[in-house]
Amino acid sequence: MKLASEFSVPAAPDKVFALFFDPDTMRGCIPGCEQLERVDEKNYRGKLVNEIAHVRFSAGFSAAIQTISEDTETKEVTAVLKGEDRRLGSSIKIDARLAVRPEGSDSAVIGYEMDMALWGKLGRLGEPIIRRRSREIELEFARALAIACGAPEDKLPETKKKARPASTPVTLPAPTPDATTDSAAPTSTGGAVAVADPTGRRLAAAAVLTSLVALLVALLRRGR
Amino acid sequence: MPTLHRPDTLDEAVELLSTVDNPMVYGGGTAIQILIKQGILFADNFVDLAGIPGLREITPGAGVLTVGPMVSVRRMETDQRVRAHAPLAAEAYHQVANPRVRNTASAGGNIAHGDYRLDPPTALLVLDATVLASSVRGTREIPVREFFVDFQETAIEHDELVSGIRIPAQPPGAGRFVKNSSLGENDWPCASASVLVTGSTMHIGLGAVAPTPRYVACDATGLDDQGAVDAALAAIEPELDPIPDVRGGVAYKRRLARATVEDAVRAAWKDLQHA
Amino acid sequence: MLEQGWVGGRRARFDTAGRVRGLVSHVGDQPVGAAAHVAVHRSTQPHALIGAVHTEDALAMPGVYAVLTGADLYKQFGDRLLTGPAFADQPALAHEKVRYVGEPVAAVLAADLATARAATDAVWVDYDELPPVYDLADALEGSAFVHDELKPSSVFGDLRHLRGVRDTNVNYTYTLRHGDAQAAREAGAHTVTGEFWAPPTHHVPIELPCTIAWVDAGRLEMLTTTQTPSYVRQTIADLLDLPLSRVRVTTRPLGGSFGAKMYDRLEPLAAALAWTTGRKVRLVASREEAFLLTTRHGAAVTSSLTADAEGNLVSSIADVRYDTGAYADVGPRITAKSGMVTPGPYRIDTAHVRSRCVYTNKPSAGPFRGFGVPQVTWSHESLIDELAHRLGEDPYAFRRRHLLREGDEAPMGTRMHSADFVTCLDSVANAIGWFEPLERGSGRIRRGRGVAVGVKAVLTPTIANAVLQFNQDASATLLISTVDMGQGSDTIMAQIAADVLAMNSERIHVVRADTDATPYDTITAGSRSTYHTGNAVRRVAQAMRDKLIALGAQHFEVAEADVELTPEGLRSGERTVPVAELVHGHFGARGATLTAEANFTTSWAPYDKETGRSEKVTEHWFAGAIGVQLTVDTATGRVHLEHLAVAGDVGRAINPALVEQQLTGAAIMGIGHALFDQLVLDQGQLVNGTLLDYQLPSIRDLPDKLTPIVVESPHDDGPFGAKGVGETGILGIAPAIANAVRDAVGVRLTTLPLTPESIVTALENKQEEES
Ligand SMILES: Cc1cc2nc3c(=O)[nH]c(=O)nc-3n(C[C@H](O)[C@H](O)[C@H](O)COP(=O)(O)OP(=O)(O)OC[C@H]3O[C@@H](n4cnc5c(N)ncnc54)[C@H](O)[C@@H]3O)c2cc1C
Repeated sequence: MKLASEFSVPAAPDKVFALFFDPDTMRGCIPGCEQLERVDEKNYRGKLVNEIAHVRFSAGFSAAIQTISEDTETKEVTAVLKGEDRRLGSSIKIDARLAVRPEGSDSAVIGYEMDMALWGKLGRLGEPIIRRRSREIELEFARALAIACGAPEDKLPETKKKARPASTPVTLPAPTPDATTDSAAPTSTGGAVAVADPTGRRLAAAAVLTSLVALLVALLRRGR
Repeated sequence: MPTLHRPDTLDEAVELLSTVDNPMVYGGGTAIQILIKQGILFADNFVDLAGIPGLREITPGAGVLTVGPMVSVRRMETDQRVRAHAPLAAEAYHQVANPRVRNTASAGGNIAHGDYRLDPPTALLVLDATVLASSVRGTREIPVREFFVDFQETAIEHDELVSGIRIPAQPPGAGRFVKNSSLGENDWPCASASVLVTGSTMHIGLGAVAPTPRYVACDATGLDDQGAVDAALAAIEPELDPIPDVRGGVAYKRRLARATVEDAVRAAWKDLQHA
Repeated sequence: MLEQGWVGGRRARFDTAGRVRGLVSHVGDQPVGAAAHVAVHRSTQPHALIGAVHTEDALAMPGVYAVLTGADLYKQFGDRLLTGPAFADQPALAHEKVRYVGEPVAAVLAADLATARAATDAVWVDYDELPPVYDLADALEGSAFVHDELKPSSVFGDLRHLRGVRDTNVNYTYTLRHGDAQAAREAGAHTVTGEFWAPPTHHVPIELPCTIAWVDAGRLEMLTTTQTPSYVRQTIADLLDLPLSRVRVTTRPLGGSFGAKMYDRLEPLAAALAWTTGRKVRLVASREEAFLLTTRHGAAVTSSLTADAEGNLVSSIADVRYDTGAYADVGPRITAKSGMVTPGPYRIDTAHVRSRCVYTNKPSAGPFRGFGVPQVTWSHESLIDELAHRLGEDPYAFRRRHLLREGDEAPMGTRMHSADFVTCLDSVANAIGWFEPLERGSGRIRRGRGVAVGVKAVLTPTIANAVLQFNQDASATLLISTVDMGQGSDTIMAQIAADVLAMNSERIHVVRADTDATPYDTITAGSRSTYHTGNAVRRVAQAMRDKLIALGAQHFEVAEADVELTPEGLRSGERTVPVAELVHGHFGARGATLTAEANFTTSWAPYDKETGRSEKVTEHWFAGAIGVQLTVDTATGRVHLEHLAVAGDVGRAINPALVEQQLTGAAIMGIGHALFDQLVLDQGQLVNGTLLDYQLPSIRDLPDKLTPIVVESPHDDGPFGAKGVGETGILGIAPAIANAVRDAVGVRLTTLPLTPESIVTALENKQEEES
């Protein structure tokens, strides 16, 4: 399944990057991220704990950075993310690409693409839910990041419940509708997150994605 | 293994919901049983409403019909009072799934399920029904137009249950429900629409074409059938936000939504002319 | 009324009421007593090396008896753990590596099924990922390999040369070369081409697969849902290294199968577990698991058909790729048997077909009603239709002109006999009113008609045996190993025997397959039973008639030629003796039995390795045709079938009512395949493998009118001229519907299923091109 989207945040790319590189900020921005740990130069491990609809869950994930390109105007990182929920007999693997580019003077666009494989029991149930949840997570993440960038909280749209992209500093085009989606082979749009730099910073990407997975798991556990 | 509770009263039921771990209301079980079989449901306590007297009643009142949560979908389809009072609702319930599911599924479970593809909500939206939600804190009224808050999420709190649905009498005019599937005829709908034309207003309830059932209304003063179709299509446009899946991509689902609404509007206009 | 139960009679199946009311008990209904219930932990990786399998937590759960892994079984059985009809490639539990998402990795034995299933969630596995081979393109690119080397099994001798071949995902290639098709195409006046795709599908029989196995006095005994008890016995004997006499496989009536319950399904695992643990084990697949057990091959066909200036067919070229998933199963046979009919049942000067069977990291594909032929029929019936349109000819008449006639040699070298394509085509065309004007519609709803024909070979060579016990009270007990799975075989076998013995067919009991008692029969599949087992049954009944006549001759003291078997008994001139009295007299005892046995075996000439041709590739042919009239809603893309006619040449209908039901049932299944039925996979994961999402035709998808037509062109060697019919009706459904859609709205679709979405997309593309 492919997911892709982009959203802007009210800060210059440099500032956004700086925040990306700050694990504390990221932990605060990523819904449910409780742990982020660097195993070595390229590999990270983390844990997401979340509660959705009164169900608590936790899921471990790992991220392995594949490539980084920082020198161009658009900075980009690719990573492979993996998570597993043993109880649900399911695993997930995401090939992710995240890019950050400037937009005007004081704004940056974060774009993501991900190719997600969801294997096991969840895989036969999840597609519409993932597509939907990915938007939700994106909204939450974008909102938190915007606040971290200094945007006034009360001017931001509510993320939960009926969150429809509004004309506030956080503008969120709907995930690119994929006009050619072929029902036999879901190829649509997608997204991945990413972070743009060698050291601790890329975690954000990993964490956002994995929190998506985690939410999905929680949602299904809740039995909807 | 989850525990099954069979309370005898509504008070007992809501008490359970507020005290036991990870509870889940058990209505007809048609949705729950499937999730259990697939091994992806992890509720610890089921609170079965089947044994509570009175929850299967349909109670006529002044201009409203109050439907108990355990009234079966099948009865909503066949009951003479529902058919006389809100024929559009009866028609939407009639088209749910198949007789086996309709005989077992409950009216309360149907809306509580909160799926974006459900048929009956489209009719309840245009009829402006009210959902009664009960908990240890008492019973509150939720307009159905505020009930479906997000993808598979309703306004029901975790310790609440749907204790009734109040359906106002269908006003004079014309009402039509149309649904289309995209694969097998008997599959879940890929687009559904309830259209209710009363006086100068056209109310439209949409199913399966956005993360939640959607409601819009538009002015239909002086329109002919083509004008009404154009107005309806313009009104629904901002609401269309389909989720692509094995049943179709975004473009196809949008198209099918428009075709479905057009069919419902034309049929309603025909009814108006023949009335 | 007796004749209703003889050949040509329409007697009801003996088990209709029982099946409908649930009085016929199936394997899963059998009480098992104290047994270990088995659930399976499945892979969450499409392609990976197995590191550690952690079973401790599961073992610690109360009620869990044992947890076994592929490594445990391999320790016990070595390479014998790998089984399969064509290649010994499939382990009962994944060993060393997993090859598809959902592959069994560990088996939990527990006191009850719920405990076993819960414990499978407590098993976890360390994987070392390998590059996945998701589809045909990945597989043929050939950088990652699903199997390290090919391991032909001992079942099919002609695959021996493939042993040890490495670095390929193509496990088998069949090539047909008849003349220089490339040159003929280049010289031809009109060529149509296509890229066709028929997706994988699942059989979805109502009854779920279930196997119960136990060890009794050093023998492995098994009760299982299988169409192939003789095959399963051999496989289990090989796996456990036992003589055949120490393996017993029994069945109950199956609740549908369509190929889903053949070869190696639950049985090798059940046998291995029972043998290893000494426990009675019971395995039952959940509906979701059944989707993973076996599937129909997805197939891609790149093909062309060429006519000369006069409209004669001069060249047919096709490249066929069957996606067989992680394990070959019977894929190589499908690849050859379908490859050879890829040009279709037409007189064509030259033909070149390459048909390949390809491994991918998906659930394994195996036999499915039609055995790969519907996928190539999709190609040849779309091509010839398009060629007719290209030439401005009527698609019916164009086909009719080129169809093979009695005695014609098909492109693969075998002659046609008892395959009356012309009558099949004529009768469906007449039925749907092809020759009458069509009200096409001008607005949103458009109407069209289409036809298609299909050809398939019967499984050859095969062996059938029958034993008949004639009871003293003039009833009979027939022992055959044909499995009745709803097709009605027990009923028609009784009709054949009753006809020969001039008796009431209801007095004949057919014993269900039990390898301790019923004689060897290759398989219940490939529409072969009526012809093969039917012939064995006719022979055994004839042998019994001879015995009764001999007794009659003794009784009357006349020559055998002067004795006749009639419904009233044996007659010689004016004298008659009831059979019961005769047999009683012979033995001097009530309840005694006379026994006869018979065999019927067919042979073939294996196809030439170079040309793929054979003068006798099959014992006989199935010929069928479909005609359909439908409407297309151009706003929604939805197809509505107004009338579908399905004709099949059955040689001779042993029971016309059952033949009509087979034609009708196959047509309905084909409607699903044409319009919406498909397994959707995303990166190796089956995303619609539940009955909530998987689409099957319901009563609301049926045509307004469905007309089955029985065509009878008797086969010289068939029992009373009969041939089978289980698959005939499904072959041409999808192309007939697509051809009618083409007729209605002018778009040619080459990808199945023909979803409303694909139809409106094609209509939009067409509009764009036109503007
Ligand atoms: C094969 C199939 C086809 C279907 N096709 C359609 C269709 O075409 N159109 C359509 O509209 N629907 C369709 N459905 C869905 C069907 O309408 C729902 O399954 C049904 O309405 C759920 O009702 P239930 O009483 O069985 O709910 P349950 O399975 O008992 O519960 C469903 C959910 O609602 C909650 N719940 C139940 N009752 C209450 C209550 N009183 N208060 C609070 N929460 C409650 C449960 O906790 C659970 O989360 C189909 C279902 C199936 C199985």
